[in-house]
Parts: sequence; structure tokens; C-alpha cells
Amino acid sequence: MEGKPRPNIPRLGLGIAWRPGLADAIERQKISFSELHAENFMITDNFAADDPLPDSVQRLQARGVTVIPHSVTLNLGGAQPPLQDRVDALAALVKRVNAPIVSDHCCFVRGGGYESGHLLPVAKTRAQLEMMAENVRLVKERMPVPLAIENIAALFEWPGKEMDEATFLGELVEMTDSLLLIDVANLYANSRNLGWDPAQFFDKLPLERLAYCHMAGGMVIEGLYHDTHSRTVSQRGILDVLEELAARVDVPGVLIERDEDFPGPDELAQDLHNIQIALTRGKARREAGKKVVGAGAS
Amino acid sequence: MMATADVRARIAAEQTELVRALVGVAPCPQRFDAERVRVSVIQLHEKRKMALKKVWPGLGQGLGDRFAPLFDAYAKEHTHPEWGHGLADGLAFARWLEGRHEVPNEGKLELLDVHLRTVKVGGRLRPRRGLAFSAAILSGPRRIVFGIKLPGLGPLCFALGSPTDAKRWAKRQARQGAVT
Repeated sequence: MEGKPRPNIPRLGLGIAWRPGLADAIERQKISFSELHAENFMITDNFAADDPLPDSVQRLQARGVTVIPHSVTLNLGGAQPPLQDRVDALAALVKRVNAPIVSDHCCFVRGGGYESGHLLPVAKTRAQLEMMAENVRLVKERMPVPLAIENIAALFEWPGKEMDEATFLGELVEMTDSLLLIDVANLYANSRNLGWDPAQFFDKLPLERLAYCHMAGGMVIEGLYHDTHSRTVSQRGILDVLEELAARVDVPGVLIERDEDFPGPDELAQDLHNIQIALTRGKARREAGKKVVGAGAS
Repeated sequence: MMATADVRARIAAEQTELVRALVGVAPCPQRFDAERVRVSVIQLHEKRKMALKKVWPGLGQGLGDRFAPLFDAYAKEHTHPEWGHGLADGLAFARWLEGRHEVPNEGKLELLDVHLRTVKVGGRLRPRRGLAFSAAILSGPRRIVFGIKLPGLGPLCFALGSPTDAKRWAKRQARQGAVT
């Protein structure tokens, strides 16, 4: 919003999302931040505050690793206003881990009593945008730290769209004074499956609001790219999109998400190294003032 | 500008129509790409299965190769619970398995753990505060595991008979520090 002071965006550096099956390998990496899947530390709509955090998470925090709760069920794009106790439970987790930021998605997850268990695209209409902005404001009122909103991957779009995803997301974060969490892998997936152009996507976003990025590796199943979080992020197309972003903006943080086929520490270290190379290349282009060209994501 | 009740109601109806299609209880809404929605239905089902397995690893491990077909059969009859993500879905699945006498020992210990930590109020799982007891009867060899949760502490368990499974469970709890 014009004239409104922008929230301070911390420099997060490189990170890996914490998962029980990946805990040992993560502890062996040089990372400066991590994410907790918020719902795994909550019970439906209230935080199980008497459960201690996993030892591994406590050790990371003792090392100075920043921990960010990452939520998937706030239902920011849902027709039902956010539930107060659900938001408060997330806020309690934020305070408990002393997080500088909290995040969720530009999506809806439930409707009519049905839980999808997934992140679903919202209609890209003005009415949806205004309703979602209202939801985001209601969440922010109760959240002690800035909220970052993430783009999702989808295999289809709503009919009758009035704007594209980047315009929608950009306006949403501007209207609500929120931050951006750009999932590079989701954007890559949508470029493969929906024909989006990552470069154009970035050009329409207020990148000065970028809080951090997600990186993940997926796979092609029956001709469609699925963001399964089951493969290395060291795939040319995905790293190219990250470089394209870094060529436009100083990226405050990049985090690897891995949820399947957990790798050993060597693969994770290689992924972190390759991410750093992509960031360095992008930065060199940015500083050289080179004209940005297509992302070449496919 | 505030979204009016009419706008929310219209969007709610549209989103419900789409969600119902995606969880497999209604056809694809008009003007959507039917083929992509069909693939998404499969994607959501597989994701649900994996999410449950992550939150209930013992149940998945104990069922082995039978996990997938049993979950598929359960999911045909039960959509994802509205509240409680994989934890509630797994609880409903475990209850469904109980009716078929199909809960493996590892799943029984996870059930015991969930009983100690949670209570269902108005259809929603909530953390159980204060003192809690629970028990599970394991098979082959038959033994009873008692669980107790003291305020401010995680669950503790004691086994009558061979305590191997109980010890393994207690170790896992200590490592993970949560039901996750």
C-alpha cells in the first residue's frame, strides 16, 4: 500500500523444511532457517502446547537456526472467514518458536463440509480477490508477525478469470500489506502444465515484498509435471527459474522442501550448493544490469 | 470494500461444487477442464493416502502391502474429515479397521497415543489436558500395554508381556517429541 511502511524482511539465507524423516540429514547441513509444517504441531484447531518440540528442532534453534511455521489450512481463499481459534493456534506456534514470519497459501482447501486435503486454486476474479483480502486482514489482525502468501501449483484453472495469477497475488499482498513466498517449483510446474511464463509472472509481482522462496523437485507422470517434493531440486529448469528471480531481486531466503524419498546429507548439501550457484548467477546478472530474458523453464 | 454475504455465498457454492468433484462425490463442474480435474482427483487421493501414512507411520508400516487397498476401500466410503487433517483421517481409518479386526500392533499403539493426547469434542479433535489413561491389547504374543499421560509430560507406557513394541513406540515418541 502506498505510503505505508513496509515490514522489515529478515535475511533468512538457505534452509531446509524440517521433517521427522529428514531430521538427521538436516542437522548435518549449514542452514540458517527451517520451516515447521504447522499442522503437525497442532491438533485441529488448538495447539497441543504441552508437547515439547522435537529434540532435533530444539537443537537447530540452539544453533541459531530460525524456524518458521508454514501452514496449509488457514483457507485464506475460502468463502468462510478464517476461524479465530484456528488462527490463534497458529499465532501461538509462531510465538512459541519465536518466528519472524508465518506463511500460508493463495488457495482454498475446503468447502461445503468437505476437506480437500490439498491446496486448491481460487477463481481469479475481482470478487474473489476482495473476499480473500478480507480473510487475509482478519488473519493478520491476530498474527504477531508478518504473513507471507505463497503461490500454488495446480493442474487446472477456473473458467472466467478476470486476471492472471501474478496480478491476483500481487494485488492481494499489496492490498493487505503482506509478504510474498514464491514457490519456484510451483511456478515451474504451472509453466509446464498451464503454459505460464515465469519471467512474466515475476514481472507482475511486487518483488520488494519477497520474504523467501520454496524449492522442490517433482516428476512427470503421464505427461504432467507433479510437484511431488520427492526429487532433487538440482534440475536445470527449476534452478533456471530461481536464477531468473535472483536476476530481478535480492532473494532474502531459499528453502528446500522434501517430503518423499528422503535423501542423505550429501544430496541435500549438493542441492544447497546448486541453489547458491543459481542465486550467485542471478545476482551477477542483476548487478551487471543485464536485460532480463525468458526463464527457459521448460 | 467488504465482501458481501451474497458474494461469499456465491463463492461458497462454486467452491463447494469444485471440492465435491475433487473428492469424488460429484461430477466435474461445467466449463472446467474435465480431464485435468480427473487427474487432480487421483492426485488428491494419493496425497491424502501419503499424508495419513506420515502422521500414522506405524499403521502404514504394520499394514504393509495391505495399507493401500484397505485405505482405498475406506476412502470410497469416507471423505476426508472436515477437521483435523491427517490425524483425524487416520483416526477414522483406524476405527474403520477396528471394525474389520485389521488394526496391526503398531497401529494399536498409535491409537493409544492419540487417545492419550486428544479428545473429540463436537466432532473436532482437541488436545487432552490433564491426566489420561489408555490401553491397547497387542497380538502375537498377546500382551497389554497401558499408557498414561501426566500433565506437562509426554505419554509414558508400561507393558505386561513382551514389551518390545511398547519400547519401540516409546523410543519413537522420544525421538519425534510429538504425534507427528
